[in-house]
Amino acid sequence: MKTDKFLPFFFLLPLLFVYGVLVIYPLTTSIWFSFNDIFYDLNPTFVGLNNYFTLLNDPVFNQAMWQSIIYTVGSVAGQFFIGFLMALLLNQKLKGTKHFRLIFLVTFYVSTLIASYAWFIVYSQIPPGIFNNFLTMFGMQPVGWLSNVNIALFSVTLANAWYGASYSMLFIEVGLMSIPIDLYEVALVDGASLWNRFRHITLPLVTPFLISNLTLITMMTVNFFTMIFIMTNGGPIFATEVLALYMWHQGFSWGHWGIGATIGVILLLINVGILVFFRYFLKKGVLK
Amino acid sequence: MKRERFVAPITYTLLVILAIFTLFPLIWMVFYAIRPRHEMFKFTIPSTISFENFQLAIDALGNPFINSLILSLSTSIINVAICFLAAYAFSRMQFRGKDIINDSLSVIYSIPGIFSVIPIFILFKSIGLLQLHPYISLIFLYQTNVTPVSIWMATDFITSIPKDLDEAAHMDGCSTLGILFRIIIPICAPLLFTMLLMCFIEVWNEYLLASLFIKTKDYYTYTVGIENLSTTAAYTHHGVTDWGFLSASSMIGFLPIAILMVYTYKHFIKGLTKGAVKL
Repeated sequence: MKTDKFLPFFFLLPLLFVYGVLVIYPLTTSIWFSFNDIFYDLNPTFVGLNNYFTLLNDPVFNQAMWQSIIYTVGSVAGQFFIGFLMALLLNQKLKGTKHFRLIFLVTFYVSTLIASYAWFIVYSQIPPGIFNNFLTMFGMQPVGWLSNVNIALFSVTLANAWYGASYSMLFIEVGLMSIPIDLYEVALVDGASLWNRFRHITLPLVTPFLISNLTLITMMTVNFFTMIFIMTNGGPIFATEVLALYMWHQGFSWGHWGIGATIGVILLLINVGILVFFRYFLKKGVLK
Repeated sequence: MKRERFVAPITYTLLVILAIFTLFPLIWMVFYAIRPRHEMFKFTIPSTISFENFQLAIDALGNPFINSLILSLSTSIINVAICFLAAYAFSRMQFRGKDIINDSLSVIYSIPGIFSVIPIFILFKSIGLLQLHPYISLIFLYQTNVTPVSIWMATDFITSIPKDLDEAAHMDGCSTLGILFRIIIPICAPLLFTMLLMCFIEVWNEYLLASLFIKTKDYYTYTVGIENLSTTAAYTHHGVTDWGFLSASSMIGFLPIAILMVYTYKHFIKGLTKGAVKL
């Protein structure tokens, strides 16, 4: 059947328009904006690489960079291992596991706002939240989970790992389901133990999915700050400020759009770096 | 299949521990929602079940809920149209650049769009979209949310419809558009519904961008409404966020999603399967 030469593009036009404005346009302009000093909508002035130097000398930016790394590594590790464990348990296909899947999926469906406030109540110090009530019940001092400078970053990381675990679970489950069941039956006949079956059948076959999952959740976590935004808004004294949140603050709270766009460019470069690292470096290395 | 005897008990124990870990913050929200308002911050089991908080939440958030419904529905209808048209082109037509566009979808899926929020905000402000109506900007911005997954799902589904049907209709003198509207779309009705629900859930739950674009009380979506109202004077207890109001309104907001969740999670898994293979 012959199709018109222009007809496909007529069908794709809405998609291309949306992506043109929402992906291609910001990609190119944010690089341009990062070379300009823009304060609200006052006239932008070209300042070259000045924004980048400003950020390099900005102590909050450096702090945010380190905190981003801790936050990302912590929540990726948390959600990956919890999600992997959930997927492995569900994949045992015992009676009633379907209901457990639905329970785990609640965090996948619940709004970020609701999840953040649920943890806000868990962590609250005045009035005492869930953790602090349990602590006082066992005769310990209440802890400022979100107000103590040394603990706050750990608290938001834990909440984020909790929130993201179900996504990893779904993703890894897809990988586990793709493993043919005959392999396990043959291994059972040969008398392979549970650990050996996991080590020699499950792990090698599911590894490509694990790496895809790690790639996606790492990139998502680097850019995801809504929970921090609601729970602490970067405080106390920037103790939970991560890179993406700092971009938001510079851009929308303080009106430094030029600096904000510069952080956006840095974020984009980090994302591309993560993508390249996982897809071309790690994947090739592991799958050899 | 025979297994080791210890597998089942250990599996169930771990599953229960993980289920408690997953649910405990949300369960406590339920407790705070049904607690009478005079014992709002108490930790004990509520003395009586009271619906005062729900009453407050419905009174204050009736309008935001309707706003959320309008915003989510209009976004998802437009999104389904865009995705379906693109998926139809991908699965039934041959054209140059098909592979490039298809590959770029997986890049767009994997790179989160938050870096672009400042340039887009400046653009919308300078062309006057921001001042026009917050929902126009939001409906447009939300179009990237689930689009790649939706397109992959729809492309698969349409590819699985036998081409003989198209050809038979073509023989009978049906035009390309006629084939699309009379044959493909009726077969795809369940698919379209799933795509609609997926986008609906995303937009219903969205908070960050909505909080950036919606500044007037009349336009509050329910997430922005909860955030703003639970910390404003009327619902604040001695400067502390009102947990009762907050919990009750969160539960009401999650209710429609909880119902949809049971119907959609299998499709989400299928969509993810597609995504996992593409990456």
